[in-house]
Amino acid sequence: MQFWDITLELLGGFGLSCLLFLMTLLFAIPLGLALSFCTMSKFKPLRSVSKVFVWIVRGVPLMLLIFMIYYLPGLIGSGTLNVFDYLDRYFTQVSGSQELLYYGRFIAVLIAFVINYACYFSEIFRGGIESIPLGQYEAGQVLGLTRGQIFRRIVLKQVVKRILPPMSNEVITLVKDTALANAIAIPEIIKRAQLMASSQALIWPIFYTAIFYLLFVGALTLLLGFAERKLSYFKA
Amino acid sequence: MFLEVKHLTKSFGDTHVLKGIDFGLEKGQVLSIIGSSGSGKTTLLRCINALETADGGEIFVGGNKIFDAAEHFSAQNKKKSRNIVNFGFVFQSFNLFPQYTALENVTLAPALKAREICKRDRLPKAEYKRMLSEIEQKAIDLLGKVGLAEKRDAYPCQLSGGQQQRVSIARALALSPDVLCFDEPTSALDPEITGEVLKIIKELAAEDMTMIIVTHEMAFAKDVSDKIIFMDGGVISAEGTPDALFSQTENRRLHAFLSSFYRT
Repeated sequence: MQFWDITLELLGGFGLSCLLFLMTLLFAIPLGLALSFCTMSKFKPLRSVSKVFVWIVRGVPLMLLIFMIYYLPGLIGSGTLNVFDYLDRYFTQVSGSQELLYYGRFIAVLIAFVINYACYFSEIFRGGIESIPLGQYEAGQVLGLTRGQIFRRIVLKQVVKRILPPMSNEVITLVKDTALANAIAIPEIIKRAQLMASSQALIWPIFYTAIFYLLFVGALTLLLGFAERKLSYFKA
Repeated sequence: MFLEVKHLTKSFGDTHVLKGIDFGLEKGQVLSIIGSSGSGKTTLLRCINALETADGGEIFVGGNKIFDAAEHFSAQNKKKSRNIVNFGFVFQSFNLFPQYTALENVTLAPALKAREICKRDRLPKAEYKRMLSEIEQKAIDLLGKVGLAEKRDAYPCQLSGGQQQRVSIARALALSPDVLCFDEPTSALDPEITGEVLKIIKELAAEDMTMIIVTHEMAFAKDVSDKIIFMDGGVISAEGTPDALFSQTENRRLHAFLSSFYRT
């Protein structure tokens, strides 16, 4: 019975990790695409600013970025109460929960993840877009297509095919990075295993968490492999 | 004159690629542009097709100005030009869209155009569908014309170079161009399959398609053209009918260029 209780407890934590994973993808992909257009812009100030931004975000550890996002609002405001902590208490109060909820801190981590991954994705997107031969754009141009049509109808699918392998890498890294939510005490799977170790002197759940990650990454690998095969009908 | 190019100039940095090009072309004529590499042939063709923006000069089609270097040429202007004249362009490296079948490559642009028209004029869906099936039928006919009817569902990576180039000719024809331009259409092909592409261009010439062909195939140029331009160092060094040009001996540069083709 204890095994199933622990499995369910860890699964609850892993659910949080998965939620963080999915929401990061949801926001970081469009933001990364927008950012990649900024870094490729012909307007130099925009290009410079976005490149410096990418440099800073990629140059700082993700854990530090989480701390920065979490503590930054306190620096700007009166400093009496962290806005994310305030949200935690607010949500707890509203829901009438006995335990302190962590929704505010979850938002802080999500912001840090989205910023971090948008920057990594933007560089992958830029590489993919710039690798498409100029001839593809010109062929669209002489056929009278607009720039938007050329991007959507001609370039996009070729870019997707080319960036799928590096994106797979990045997406798998993201799964494992969700463990960093631990840094501001969000009860994700590893945090929960740690708590079991300290409160019940159970060490094995820590090792057990690896199974969750392995299964999830395994499923993801199959899915991404499937997507790659789906796009293998053409060469680009 | 149907197409008139007036004093076209173009530089890339300090390199003056076109130093004032003037020529005219009648409807239904075939013009070949010959000359050694770096003489500006391709740049001239690209300037006419708005793939490059010339630094100076004007281009007229049927008396209407489609390009004037003195005016700022925005996308709006380019669209206006396209309403006056429709250029088709066939690239040296084909540039087919790899994710589309041969048929989809041919139908893509006309289908998008049809969709724009239907949206603009708020035509019913049935009308749009009818246009699409018309476009598809025309594309099938065009693929048949270039001898690739049975390859309609093949992707570019499944086609040989010669077949890809024939699809790209069909793709250019799908928009019923007024002038069809070829930029060294056989230069990327193995010598034994250049014939299948040249044969199609000859057939188009027989149907009085107005064409401008940049080529290194001298025998072909002589055979198919109404007029040949020899470019050298960014200017038109000689021009005339194939017979006049190929029998000319006073122009040393032309003579040297032509004799290099027969010296093997």
